[in-house]
Amino acid sequence: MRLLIKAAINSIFNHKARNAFLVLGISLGVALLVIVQILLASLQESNEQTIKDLHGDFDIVVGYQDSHKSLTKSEIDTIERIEGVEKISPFLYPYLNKEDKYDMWSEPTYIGFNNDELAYEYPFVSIKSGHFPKAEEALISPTYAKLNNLQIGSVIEMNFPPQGKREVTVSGISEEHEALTNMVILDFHWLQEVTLNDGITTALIIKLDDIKKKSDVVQELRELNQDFFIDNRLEIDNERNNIGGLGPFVKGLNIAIYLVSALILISTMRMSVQEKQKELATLRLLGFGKKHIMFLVLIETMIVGLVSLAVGIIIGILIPHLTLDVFLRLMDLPNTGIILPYQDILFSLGIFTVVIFLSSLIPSYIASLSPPLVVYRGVKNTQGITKRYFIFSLLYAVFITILFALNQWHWQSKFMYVINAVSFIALIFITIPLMFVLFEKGVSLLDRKLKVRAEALLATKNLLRQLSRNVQISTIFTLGVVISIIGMMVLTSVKANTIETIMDTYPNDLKLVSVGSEIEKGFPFSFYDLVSENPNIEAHFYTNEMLFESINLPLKQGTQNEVILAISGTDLQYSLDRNEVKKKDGINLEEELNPNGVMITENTSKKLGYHLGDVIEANFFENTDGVNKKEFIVEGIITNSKHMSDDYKIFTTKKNMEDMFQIHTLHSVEMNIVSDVAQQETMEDVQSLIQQPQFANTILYNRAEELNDLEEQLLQRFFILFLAVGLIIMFTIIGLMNSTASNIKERIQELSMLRVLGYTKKRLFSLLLLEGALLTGTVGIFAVGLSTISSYCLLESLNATTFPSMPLLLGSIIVLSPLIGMGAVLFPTLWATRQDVMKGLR
Amino acid sequence: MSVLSVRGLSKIYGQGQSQVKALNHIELEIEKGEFVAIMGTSGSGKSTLLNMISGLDTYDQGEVLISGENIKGYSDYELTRLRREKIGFIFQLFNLIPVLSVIENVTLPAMLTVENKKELEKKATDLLNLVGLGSYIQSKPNLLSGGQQQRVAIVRALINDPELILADEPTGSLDSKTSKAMMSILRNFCDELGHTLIVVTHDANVAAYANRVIFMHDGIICDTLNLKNSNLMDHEVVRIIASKIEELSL
Repeated sequence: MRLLIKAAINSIFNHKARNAFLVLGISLGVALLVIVQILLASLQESNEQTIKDLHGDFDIVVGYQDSHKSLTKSEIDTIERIEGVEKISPFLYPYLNKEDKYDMWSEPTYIGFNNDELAYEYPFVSIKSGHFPKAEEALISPTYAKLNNLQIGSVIEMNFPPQGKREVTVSGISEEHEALTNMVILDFHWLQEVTLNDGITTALIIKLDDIKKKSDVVQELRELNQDFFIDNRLEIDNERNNIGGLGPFVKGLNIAIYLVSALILISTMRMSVQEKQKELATLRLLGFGKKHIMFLVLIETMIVGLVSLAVGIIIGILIPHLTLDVFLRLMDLPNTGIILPYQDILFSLGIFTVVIFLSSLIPSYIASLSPPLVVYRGVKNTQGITKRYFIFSLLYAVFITILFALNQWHWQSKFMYVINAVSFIALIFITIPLMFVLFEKGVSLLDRKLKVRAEALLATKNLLRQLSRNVQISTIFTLGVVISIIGMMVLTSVKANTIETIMDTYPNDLKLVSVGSEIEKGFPFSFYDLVSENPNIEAHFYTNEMLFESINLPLKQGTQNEVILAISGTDLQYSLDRNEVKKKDGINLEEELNPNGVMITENTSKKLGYHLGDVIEANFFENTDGVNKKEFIVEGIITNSKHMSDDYKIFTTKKNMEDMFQIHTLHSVEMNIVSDVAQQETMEDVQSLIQQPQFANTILYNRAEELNDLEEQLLQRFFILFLAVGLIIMFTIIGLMNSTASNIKERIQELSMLRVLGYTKKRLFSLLLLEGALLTGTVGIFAVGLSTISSYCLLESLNATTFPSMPLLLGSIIVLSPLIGMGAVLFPTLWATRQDVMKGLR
Repeated sequence: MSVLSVRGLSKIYGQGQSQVKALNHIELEIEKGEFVAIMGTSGSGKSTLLNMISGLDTYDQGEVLISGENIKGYSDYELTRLRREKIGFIFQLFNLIPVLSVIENVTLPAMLTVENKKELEKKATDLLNLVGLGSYIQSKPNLLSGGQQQRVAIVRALINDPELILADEPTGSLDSKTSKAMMSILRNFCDELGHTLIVVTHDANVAAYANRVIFMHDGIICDTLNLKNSNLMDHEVVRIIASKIEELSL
């Protein structure tokens, strides 16, 4: 036993350079495992801090959206005792759904909060100046203060039915917040008392001790009272998911690391076994059993693997300490310090150790299998593929192609597209040996017809030498190609689809929207008049809408014969002036539209089936019982609707909206900044305009900001993708360097012979570079093709509407594939060409 | 005209007291079509001489002229070209390329220069037929016996019509029967095709096929046995050569 361990250690030191490369490669993989875990945890912590700062540090709100109901004392006690609930804070809406009863419509919304730590986390309790309200005090919004000309210390008379009016002092002004414009924050207990709501709690704010317990707590709350309204703060979860969404990428990266580390360990140790075959055969002749040989190689591989593990852990812990700041700055997040997720790291390293052990078994098992005499006689250098493998590969390729064709043209099943994608990826890996063989046959065939350079002929034949080792190196490289293409294509498609959605939602640069819904009262039309005066702005208004049911729909929408549409007033003259309307003769001005005349966009026409001159029969329902029918005549089809959000909408003039529905306010104004030079100045003009009190109930959306947010999110994912691909390419290079060095060492006599036969150093150099190029280039082209098809299938399964062609990426990979192989073999090749011919021949 | 002229060739390995004169003022002339065997004990300098002649190793003094071309001061590229165009090699371990077929191994040196591939293949096939390997042209070397592999190596050495063929212990890995067959082939090539052959060997039976046997000892040519036009029986030649070698060993 001791002798075997000593022999294994000696063997490692006998191949110092190769084992150093192997340790370097695997330890960088381990380091990356640790680095991504630490960086992800630190990133999550930093993101969590940002979320808490922005949305408040609480997790659930439970209760009612109705002041007629209240949580009971026992319910509150039970909630406080639920496993995972750290603390709670009550609040009270005294008049929610009691506005009619107490005539409170003209009053702001009153909310009572307890003066405790958790209440301060609630976005409504965001004090910009002053202090939390005590009894007979109120915290008001800046908008409310501006509207009523109030400041801290001002006394206002507020209505508290059924008790009547009370004087309240302004204790503070809240932060600017679109949801707070019409709210007044009061002391919880005083509000209970003054509104005769003793013991009433509308809802509870809950903070959990661990965010992972959220779904369990929500479940218990549901079981406690099915009537509860539970806000589990999905919007925050979504923001968490932006970072959490990196999780699957990191998991994918980890799997890639496990896989390529295993492959590189197996292939390098197989080289070692190959070189020691005579030595091992001698041991077998001396009476060592298969078990001993296996144990010897296993120890050697395990030592290399575990040393790599240790080195990797050290590098992995050191690097985040040096780079976290840069990383977070790249992601635009604050630095909240390094987090070491011990459990995750240990779990990953545990898996890695198992992978090392399992990978060690393969070369040791192969070493033990070689019969001593056969091994002693020499190594069989040329390997081929079996007929069975050839037929299987061919049948598999034909089968999955038929399956893909059937799905593409007949079934169009999303699930089958996933199967297609996986099948094509599997095909890439299954057929790597076949690719080598076919390439070699192709070149040989070509050589029969034309004169192929001797180096090319020899290099292609050498592809088949040590076939299984070459296949392993190529597999690592292929993995990189597959991940690059699928990752880039999916991310690019996601990006394109999201941009499409953003462009649909915000067809113009800026959008001012009323805080209320489309059918509620909006903001005055004067805003449109004001912005239209600015020469740098091209504006389009949309009035508040009326919803109706279209009852004569020409084209079914799914299974529905009726569909809810909205009618809105807009500046149809804009489209008329640009001749972008198919219309009845005689309509040149929007005033010439009939009182019930409408226009629809070409998209809507195609989707719903209404054409020019058609009548849209509409059923308006003031309330659920009533029926109020109207007819609209389609008097124009807008051919260019790039500036409009036209989903399930029909349009008429502002005047028609006033006449038909008495709608005088706007729901939104879309704006394009037409001047390139005065962008900032124009933005500031619009922002100052909305500071006017009459436009207080509006929110301004900036499309560029939305697109920037998207860019940032995708940047993180691209970053991890590049990290994974970079690592795999590095593994390929290390593997190839090791493999080529070993291969050249084995072939040094043969290479010297070529020199004797008249090969110049330059030609020998070309030959070895070509061998490296073929190893990655042959599979590169094939992998690019099949990965593109797999990406297409995956995107189909994800309902993507954009399928990026990415010629630059695919072309670059095709060009880079052989170059990576050449780069990797460069140093061993230089070494080989400088070897003494005489020594080599000996 | 001499195919090979070696004049005052010396090679010294090591420095100071550990200096070893591997070759010491060697003078040698070999005519076209001659079959010369170089014999000697281990360390006598026979293989070193062969390496100097082929330009595989450098020498310290003297001159080597191949077909009148003095190779002194030749660059690596020029020496490579010289080997490719004027010299054929045969080694003890055959040194065939395992991934190439028999015909590919044979045509490999010529592929670097010859343009007409069909002609080259025909020539290779003819030569392989001559050595009895016509039915193995598409086989891989590892499927051939040692004798067959050495015959492939001989044909490979001849494919470029070299002016000089250098063989270093060509029968060292073969049994005596196969060795005889191999030497007969080489002898025939010299007699019938006019090739010039230098064989380094320690086997008297191999040397007996030569026209001239050169004996080396401690880096000098100490004796020469001319067998051209000799009426001696083969076994007598072998006995004379063996006794000379024995003398050198003592």
